[in-house]
Order: sequence, then structure tokens, then C-alpha cells
Amino acid sequence: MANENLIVQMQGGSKKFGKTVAMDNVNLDITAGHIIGLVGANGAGKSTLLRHIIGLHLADGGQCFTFGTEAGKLTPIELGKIGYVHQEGELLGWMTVGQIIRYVSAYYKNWNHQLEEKYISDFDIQLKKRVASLSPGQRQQLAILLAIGFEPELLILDEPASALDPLARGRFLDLLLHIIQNENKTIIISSHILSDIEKIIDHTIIMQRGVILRDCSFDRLREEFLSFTLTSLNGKLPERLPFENIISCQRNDNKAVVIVKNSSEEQLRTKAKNMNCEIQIKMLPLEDIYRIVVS
Amino acid sequence: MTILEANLKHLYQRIGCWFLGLGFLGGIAGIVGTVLHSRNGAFEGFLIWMYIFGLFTASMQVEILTKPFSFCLPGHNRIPRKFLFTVCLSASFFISAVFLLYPAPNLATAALTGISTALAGTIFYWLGAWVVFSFANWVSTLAFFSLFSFSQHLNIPIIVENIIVNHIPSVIAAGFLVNFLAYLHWGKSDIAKKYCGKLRLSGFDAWNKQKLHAYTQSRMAEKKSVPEMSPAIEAFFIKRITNADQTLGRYIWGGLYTTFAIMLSSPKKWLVNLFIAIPVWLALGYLPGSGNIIFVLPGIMLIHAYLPVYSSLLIVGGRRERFWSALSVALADTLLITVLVLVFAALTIYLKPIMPALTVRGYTAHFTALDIRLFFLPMLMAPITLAIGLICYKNPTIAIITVIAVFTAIWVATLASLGKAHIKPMPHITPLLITCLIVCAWAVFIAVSRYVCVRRSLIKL
Repeated sequence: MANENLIVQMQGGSKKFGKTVAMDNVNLDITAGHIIGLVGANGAGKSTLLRHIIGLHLADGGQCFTFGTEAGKLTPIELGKIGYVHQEGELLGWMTVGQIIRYVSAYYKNWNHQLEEKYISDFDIQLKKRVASLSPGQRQQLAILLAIGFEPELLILDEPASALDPLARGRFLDLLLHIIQNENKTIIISSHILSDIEKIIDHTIIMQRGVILRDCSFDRLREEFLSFTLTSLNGKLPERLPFENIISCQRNDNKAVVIVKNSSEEQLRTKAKNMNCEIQIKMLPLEDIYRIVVS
Repeated sequence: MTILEANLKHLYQRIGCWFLGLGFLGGIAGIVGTVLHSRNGAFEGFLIWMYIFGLFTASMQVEILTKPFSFCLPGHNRIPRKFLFTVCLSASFFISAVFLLYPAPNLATAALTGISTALAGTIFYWLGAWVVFSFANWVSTLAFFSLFSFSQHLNIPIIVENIIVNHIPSVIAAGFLVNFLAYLHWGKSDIAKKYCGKLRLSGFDAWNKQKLHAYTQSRMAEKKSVPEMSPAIEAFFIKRITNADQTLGRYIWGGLYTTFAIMLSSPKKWLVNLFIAIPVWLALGYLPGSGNIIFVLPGIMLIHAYLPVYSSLLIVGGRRERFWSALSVALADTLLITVLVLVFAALTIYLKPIMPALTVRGYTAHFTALDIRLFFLPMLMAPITLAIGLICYKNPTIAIITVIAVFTAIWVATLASLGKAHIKPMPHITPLLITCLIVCAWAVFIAVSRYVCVRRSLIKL
């Protein structure tokens, strides 16, 4: 990413919980106007990274600046630009939904009541219900509303849709796309439902065991790994296929399904033509890319 | 391996049971010692032992019954009864064998005394088991055991001994009847269905913070357990939060709102609680010195107080704002409990001349007013308790144990340092010393909360 509009900058960020390394020398730059997908297995360090950005965790080593301020010293001015949905959805159980919305909105001058009403209507949120009596999905919907109600510049979503049903997830993704229409908004979304987030993200960060394995635009990542089906038009396919950086290959005598790395579509088509083969190229879904990157 | 054998294995496979087992063995040693030295209290001690044993063994069965997998185990709905009866009868008859040593004219009478004691024990065992199966939060009933400390005053050990030894046929009949009823009760065919998937706390869940959290949430979901917030109180606080704009005041009002809004919204509930509490404190007034526990208890109970430090709901408050909000809530909490205990203490002083002397079984008790000079204790204890709560924030049970351990250690150290002077400690405690102690306690709280807010992770779960 380019350095203009840098809103998060982490250099050498490290964090240990006992003997567990949650973040190991993480370097990260996030500029405004992107939807960033943060991907990784359980315990990869995604939540820890997000919590460092808003100063809920303090790094053992390295530095993290958010909106130009050290994350541990963020003031209400910077924090007022950040919306955060916590994966456990911590809310005040004894309040009703209406009360908690009024309570949180009291802290933000720029609370968008129209957006609030639209969200309540779209997601069919019951204002008189006690928060503790909400289902996990309803609780997540409420947490999302509380995080987006003041239209934050940086929206951090830590597993925001895990408890939502498919319809609610669809509406939620539409909402994110609506938010990102404003080019100054940035969204970081961590999720295990990769098929959902790949519809909206334009940048990907893949983490494993506290280390960032990939930090690049989603388009670049998708171009890096290509899958193609090669069908011989006359006879058998050669024993050794003439492609470089083959990651996997499943084949029989005249057909092969191959995944390659760092090859352009043009190169693949030229080679297929030279072999007198038909080729069908497709981009890999994020889930497959993730599996390759971490393996 | 049969299902019953698998269930019985829990008694030694769980580390928690080892500690518990040590406690129960200590109890048995106490009972044996009391019988051998012909002192009062062995029978009462045995019944209490059986009751607690019933609580914990039954809680293990409830824990298994609530797990959905057990519903599908063939024949598992008959296991709780088998398990409870096996454990109850084995423990009861094994331990009551020691009562054969109880002085008796002949062996037959000694044997009957032993049987009577064993069956009386089973009655208390089944009472404990029934409490666990009937009340989701049965752990809180353990608090009633503090009342047993007064049993000596009321001659309870002698009454219990008299009933078991001198009314053997009645006790044996009652024992058989209760065991028969227990056999029917725990043999009901819907027992597995009744508990499957239900959220129940067992004796070992004090360390299971996720289950505790889920239980707290489910309690909050019931409208009757937490009162509704008054719109006027809500409007009052919301207005102040909004008007405070970007100042620290916003976070201080926010902290006070989340701490006191429900309390202020439900004056009726607090009045009812006061009406329940007042007779208890008045009763304590008849046990010299015991009533002064009112100066200590609120300071310990503050361990449950909510300080707005570990929260990911309102991240708009930075670390500095969290510190000031926590400090203001801590001060407000302390002020509230100090005023409450002062009112109680003053009340007892005014009541002293009009409260009559009570005579129970030849023991005459006079009403004693609370020692109002101890009013400083909440101010001294509250900051220490709240500081421990901030440090041990991950597990409320460990926090409570730590608080009790710390105050016990301070109490013992104080008594030891005073030596014989502890009989009349008050002349040694001057206003200057009290002020210094309170300042030190608050300095500890400020240092801890400052450290937590500035240097620690602020995630609770």
C-alpha cells in the first residue's frame, strides 16, 4: 500500500501471552479507503493484532500508531473515529436494546440517527428486549449497529458475522459495501467465512502463528495463484507438464487440474496452445488461496 | 465398565474432587475426634457433613445430566438414583460406625444408635441433593452455613444428639421414609429430559468463567431478577453524558450511570432488601460482637462491583478516561457503603434502650449496639477489595478467595502485633492512624488502577 493517508502503522509489533506468541515482529501499514480482510486460523493472532490497533492490548515489543498517535495513548478524539465489533460481543446485559443504543450514542456527537433507524428496521431489531435475552446473532447485529452508528473512519470487525444467519450476513455485507462508498472509510474485517469476505475486500492480510504471511491487494493475491484445467486434444498429456511453480496437480492420461503460482494467464494459454491442449483458467477462491499460503 | 462405575470414577478422576476429598476427610477426622473425646457436636457435625456431601455429589450428577450427550446414553436416566444411593448409604453407614463408640448400656443400643445416626445422616444427604436438583444457584445456599456458628448459643448440638440417641425408633422411621421418597423422586422417568441442556452451576463451576458469564447473562435475561431502569434515571444520566462533551466528566458520568442506574431505578427493591436485612442485623445485635460484621461485609462484597476498566463496548474512552471513571465509581461505591453502615450503626444505638433482653433455654442475651467507631472499616477495605478485583479480574471466585485471604492475613497480623492488647484494641487506633491507613489503602488502589489502565491489556474475556 502507498504511504499517503496512513491510518495504522505497526512496526515490529510483538506480543506474548505466557509462552504463546500471539504476534511476532508484525509490520503493517493501513491506508484509508480500503476493505481489508484479515484471515487466519484460530489463534493466528488476528484479534490480538486488531486489539493492538485500538490500544486494548499493548505490544511487548515494537510500536503501533493509529491516526498518528501511539495506540496505547489514544484519546477520545482518535478513538471517536474508530468503530469496533468485538468477537464475543461484549454488551451490558441488563440494559434493553433501546437503552444501550441511547447510552452509546450519547458519547458521539456525530451519531447518525437515520442510519440507526434504517438498521433497526432492516435487521428487525427489537428495542424493548433486554440485551442479555438476545440470541448470539441478534447480539452481533446490535454490536454492529453500535460500531457503525457514528460512521467511524476506521471500522474494525472481529468475527462480526459468525453468529448471523445467511440472510443477515448478506444484508451485513451490503451494509459494508454501502459504508465503503465513502472513500475515506476503512474497514478491517476478520472472519472465518472467507466466501463472504472475498466478495467485499480489496486487500488481504493472512496471518499464521502471530506472523503476517501475506499483506497485499486481493487482486494481486488472486493473480498470484491460478487454477486451470488442461485437456489434451490429441492423445495423452506428457508425463511432465511444462509449467513452472506447480503447487498441485491432479491428472489422468488426457486431463489435468493444475494450480500454479506466479504465472500469467497469457503464459499459460501460450503453453497450452503449444501442447495442443485446451485450457480453462479460473481464479482460486480465497479459501483455496488461504490453504495454499498457510500450507 | 458400567455407567455407574464411570460415574463413580468422577470421585477420584477430577482434581477438584481431590481437594474436596481432603476437606471431607478433615471433617470425618473432626467427627471421630469429637466422639472419642466425648465432646458435644459430633452428631450435628455428621449431619452437616452429610448435607454438604449430598450437595457436591448431587451437583456432579446434575452436571452430567445437563450435558446433552448424556441424554443419549442408554439407561442413563436411572444412573443418578443408583449413584446417589450408592454414595449416600456407603458414606453414611461407614462414617456412622464411629458412633458405635458412643457410650451405650449394651452393644444392641450402640448398634441402634449407629443405625439411627446413619439414617439421620441420609435425611440430610437427601436434603442436600434435593437442594441441588431444585435450585439452579444452589451454591449460594452455602452462605447459610455461617448461621451454624451460632448453634452453640442455641444448644443445637445437644438437641440433635438428644433426638438421635433418645428417639431412635422415630429417627429410623423418618430415615426409611425419606429414603423411600428419595427412591421415588430420583427414579422419575423424565429426570434426563428435565435437566438436559439446562444451564446449571455445579460446585466446580466457580472456576469456569465462561459458564459463570453465561449464567450471569441468563439471570439478567429474566426481567424479574434485574429490575427495569427508570426512564427518568436514564434521561438524567444520558443528559449529563451528552452535555459533558469531550471532557473527563463524560466518562465519570458514564461510569456512575452503568454502576448505579439500576439501583437508583428500583427503590422498592432496596427497601424490601433493607426490611429483610434489618431483622438479621437486629438478631446479630443479641450476639455480642457479631453484629460488627456489618462494618466488614460491605467492604468484601465490593469485589462484585463493576469498574469500567476492562471493556470493549465503549472504546471511545481511552486509558486515561478509564482510570478516572474507575476512580470515581470506586469513591461513589465507598461513600455509599460507608453511609449505609453508619445509618445501621446509628440505628442500633437508638434501638439499644428499647430492645428487650431475650432468654432462650436459660441463656439470656442483651441487645448490643454496633460499635460506631468502626465506621472507617468500609473506607479502608473498599479500595483494597477493588484493587484485588482489578488484578484478579479474570475470575471472580479467585478474587473473592484472595480478598478473604488478604483480610484474614491482615486481621491475624494485627492481632499478633497487638499481643494481649487485642482484648481492647480500640484505644490503640487513633484518628491519625485511621486517616493514615485510609490514605495508604487509597494510594494502593490508585497505584493499581493506574498501572492496570496504563500498562495492562484491557480485554476481560
